Amino acid sequence: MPYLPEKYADLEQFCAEWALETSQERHLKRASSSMSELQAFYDAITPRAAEILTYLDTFPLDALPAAERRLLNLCLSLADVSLSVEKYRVPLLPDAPYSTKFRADTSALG
Amino acid sequence: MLKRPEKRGLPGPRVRADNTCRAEHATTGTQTMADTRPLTQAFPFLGTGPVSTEPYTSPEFFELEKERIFRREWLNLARDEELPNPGDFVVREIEPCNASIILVRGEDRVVRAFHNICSHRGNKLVFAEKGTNSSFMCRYHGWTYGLDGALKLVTAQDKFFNLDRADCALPAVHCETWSGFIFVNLSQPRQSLREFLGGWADFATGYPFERGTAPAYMSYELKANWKIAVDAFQETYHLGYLHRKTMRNMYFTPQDHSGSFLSIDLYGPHRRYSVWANGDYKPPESATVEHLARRFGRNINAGATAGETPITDLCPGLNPTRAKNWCWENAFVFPNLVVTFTPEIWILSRFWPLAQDRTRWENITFYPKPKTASERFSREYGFCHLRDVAAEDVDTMEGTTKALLSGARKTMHLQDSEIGVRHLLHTVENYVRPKPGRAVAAE
Repeated sequence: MPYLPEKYADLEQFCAEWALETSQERHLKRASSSMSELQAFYDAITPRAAEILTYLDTFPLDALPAAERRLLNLCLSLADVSLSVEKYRVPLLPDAPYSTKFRADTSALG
Repeated sequence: MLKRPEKRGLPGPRVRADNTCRAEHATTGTQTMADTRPLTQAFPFLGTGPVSTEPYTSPEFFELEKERIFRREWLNLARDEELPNPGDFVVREIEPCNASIILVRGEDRVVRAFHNICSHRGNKLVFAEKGTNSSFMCRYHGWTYGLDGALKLVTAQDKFFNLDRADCALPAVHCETWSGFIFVNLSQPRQSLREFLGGWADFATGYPFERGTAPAYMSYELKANWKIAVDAFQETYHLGYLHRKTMRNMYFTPQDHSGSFLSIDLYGPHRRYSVWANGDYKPPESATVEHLARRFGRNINAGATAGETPITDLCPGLNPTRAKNWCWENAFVFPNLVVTFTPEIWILSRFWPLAQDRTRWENITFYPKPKTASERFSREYGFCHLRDVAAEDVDTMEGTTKALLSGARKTMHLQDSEIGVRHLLHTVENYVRPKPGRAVAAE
């Protein structure tokens, strides 16, 4: 069984680091990455993000197959990472250092 | 201009018969213009002078706050949806009163509140944060209580001496619910919850809280005074400055960057105010992901909601001036509950004082349950953005608390749109050090 849906297999290289299950893990990963690492991940996923989401929308959210769930988790990492890349140009804003210490949980969203 | 709600165009404040007050700013088209006439004019009892920093820094003042506010007033602990079935329970801490409270839905579907203490030798009865039980058994010696708090079983009862079982029921705590908000009161309440909420409940009536079936959580222990933490949610003056990187151009325009809001109501100790968004805000072309997040589902941060107010059909109290550039309502229930209303999602924050310079902050955003991956993505974007914004607030709350503790400044200065800060301080003073003759909005 493939780790990602076949037509997105080339994104497999990002899965180990970015296909994370929880918002907390994804945010810690964003915070501990360099700007060039964030940019590389962003550049790889962003051009295909709209297409990926359209593809994932063909499945019920609460019954995503494992490969599709991993793909969605990549996208959820992109949502967080994009703030660094598109808005702040730093991994975390220097005036907001404690976001990694918040207890955060978005699991009820599915 | 200030307007009388019932006679548009006449300037001047209005204090209503039910002891609530409103002030409004005029709007022109989709833009709010900073008005030269102060909203504060509507609330003469609040004054306009500098305010004392003592309530934020004094340990003695904090001791009085604990006894005269948190031990006496209604406090929101949970939402009704957290306890859908008989036997469902949550345990919530009220640290300023050293109280641990069990909220449990009984077989009769009524939610009751009890102190979390075994009547035998005072052990903490329930150690879990939540769960479903048919009874509560103390792990120390096995005393067991029903969902109604009654003592059901005493192990080795024949070894006790004239045990009064009725007196050994769990200590009940006053518990009432309004529109799904479960409140408790650790004292004998002076008034019912509905009476306490007063005009605030009228304002919020009809809002579809129950649509927010997917809660997302943030919490943190702040090194900050609880009122300083609340204050960050009581004005929009700081949005264009502290949040200039996270919310650039969203909530202010070149014409208005004073933090003015559309209107404000005070309801005794509670309040609400209407916030406008820059309807012209668009993410830069290069912000592909932000555009994508805004395309799939609206969000408080991923896309201002200017121009649409269908929610007022359900909840007419929102955006009372019916401004076209309204985007959210920020509301406060004394002493420690902030509720933000938007057309699609709503957010609450509770602030629990731990010491005069420490506060436990809990924040819950209630989203409609996403049906698609796109919607899920959009919500995650909004949550991550809100987390970054909140992190800026947190760092500032801690910085303010630390700086004030130096004692170098004895006063602070509040501009017109910081009425909420002034009102909270005024209300706290009324509870902590009531003075005969003081104009009271809190009684």
